[in-house]
Amino acid sequence: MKNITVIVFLVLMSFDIYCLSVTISQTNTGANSCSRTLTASVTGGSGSYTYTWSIVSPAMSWPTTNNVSVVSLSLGQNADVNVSVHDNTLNQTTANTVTVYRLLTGSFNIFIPNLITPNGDGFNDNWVITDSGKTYSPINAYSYSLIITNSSSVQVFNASGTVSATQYGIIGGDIIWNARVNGTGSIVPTGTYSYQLSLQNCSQTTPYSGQFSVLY
Amino acid sequence: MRIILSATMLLVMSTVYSQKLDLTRTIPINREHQRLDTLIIYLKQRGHLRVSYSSNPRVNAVEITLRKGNTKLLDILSVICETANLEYQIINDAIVFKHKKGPGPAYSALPEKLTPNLPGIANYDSVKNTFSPPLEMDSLKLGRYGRKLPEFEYGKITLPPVRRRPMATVKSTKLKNDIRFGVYYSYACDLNSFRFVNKDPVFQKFQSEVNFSSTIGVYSVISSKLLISVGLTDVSKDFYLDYNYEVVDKNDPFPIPDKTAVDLRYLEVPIVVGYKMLEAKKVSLWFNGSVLPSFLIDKSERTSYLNKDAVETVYFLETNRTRLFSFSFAMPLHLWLTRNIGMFLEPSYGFTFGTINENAMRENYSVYRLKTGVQLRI
Repeated sequence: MKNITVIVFLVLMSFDIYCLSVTISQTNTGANSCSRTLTASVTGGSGSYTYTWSIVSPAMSWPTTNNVSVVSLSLGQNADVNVSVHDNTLNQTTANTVTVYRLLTGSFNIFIPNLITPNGDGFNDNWVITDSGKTYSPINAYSYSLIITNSSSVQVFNASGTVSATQYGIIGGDIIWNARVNGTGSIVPTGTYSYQLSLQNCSQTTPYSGQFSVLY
Repeated sequence: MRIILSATMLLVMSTVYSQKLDLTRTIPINREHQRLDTLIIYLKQRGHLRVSYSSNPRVNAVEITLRKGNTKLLDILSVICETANLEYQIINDAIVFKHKKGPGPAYSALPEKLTPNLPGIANYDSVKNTFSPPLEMDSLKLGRYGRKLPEFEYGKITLPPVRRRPMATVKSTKLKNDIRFGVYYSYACDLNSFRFVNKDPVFQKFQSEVNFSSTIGVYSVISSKLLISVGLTDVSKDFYLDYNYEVVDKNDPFPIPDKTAVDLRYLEVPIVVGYKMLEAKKVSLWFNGSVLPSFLIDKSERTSYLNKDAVETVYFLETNRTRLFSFSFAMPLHLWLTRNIGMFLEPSYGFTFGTINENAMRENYSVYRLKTGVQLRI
């Protein structure tokens, strides 16, 4: 009976030693990161491996160095990335797939209002930048800076922000001014105000400037 | 007897030489057959003659036959008189045609005992039979207005019939026949180049679309090259302010203005002097210079909103000018469709001193106007 137990143990041990598998870990996944890093970790092998990376969906060719365990990707759209590992000693192959999210690149898609009426009626009370469809969708930027001045060029509001937790970047509505001095003071008087806005993503930094009216 | 003859000769010669019109001059004839009224117009235009002629539909249609080529004016007048049963008289450089009354011409085209050499007259044979007796006419022997001087030979003299100048008022004859009047109506598209002020905020823009004007007036052709006219023009000078507001939510109860439209109507009084530059058949090209005082006759202002109905406003009306003064240059192209009805197309450029609205415009502006209209000769 003791011998049987030892044999089973040895079989299980050998199975564990020679069960080849691979996992993919992904880093730099924040919206403000402009490359994704993938690391293939192999277990159960002899240590001599051949790595074959590929993009399985959507169909496209591998854009960077292959046959390495660590790769950096800069994709303009979400993709399923597959790695196939072949153990050269054991002559075994294993594979795994992971979804890599796109980077924020390309032009911005925003609507900037040129009139607010901060009278508390619930309509146009805030100066809010949205996507062009005014649906509060992503605007393709991961950071912004905003300065608002009055007609005498005195700054009345200043704000900036960088998103890192979300994969979708800044959402329409994230950039907002409530028509109060520095966001907390009194509501500014009617008149013409100027804005200087800068949006940034992985491919460009775009400044916007213009005027808007405050009426009530 | 010699004294009487000499006195008669002197009277004839003084009558002949008192005329200024040279009837021996030649005029190129380009058509063998043409209506009388067409021929008279041709003589006026091509021969630069002053011709007074009382239009008569029946006589107008008489076909005058002349031989092509350079023809003496005297010959042409002769054929006209013979063919159309007219008579003419020279009054202060003007040829005055009259309808013959009765069988015998009071003032015939040619003296009864004079027959010209008529090389340019196609129907010479038929014409010459009307003259009795035929005589050779040498241009060197003609008087200044074409009448043959008598052969001054004692005891043998043939006298042409001497005409005393009628007591007609020459001046009134000229006025009646040389100054023509007419009326016209036109409609125009005006592209006003207003000099708008810059708005703050900059996305608010003043704009002006095509304005329109209509004119009714009278004109007088004071010579073959000059005319004057005066009229009344109802002209619009509308403009509007586009606020160009872009908002997140148009359901804001606070009124969001969209446009403020200002409608202005002025009464212009165009005083025009025109000079005829070119003329070909029924078409003529003129150069006109005008002064145009204008007077405000109507104004209104209306503001529309993104989220409520439009209302009447007065912001711009309070700074509106009531009187304007402009001048303009134009090159109208006239086309006569019939003898008395014509049409014209007139591009022009105008410049106005001052501003229409002090809240919206800077001083001085120009207008490009394309006018088309009809004219009626009376």
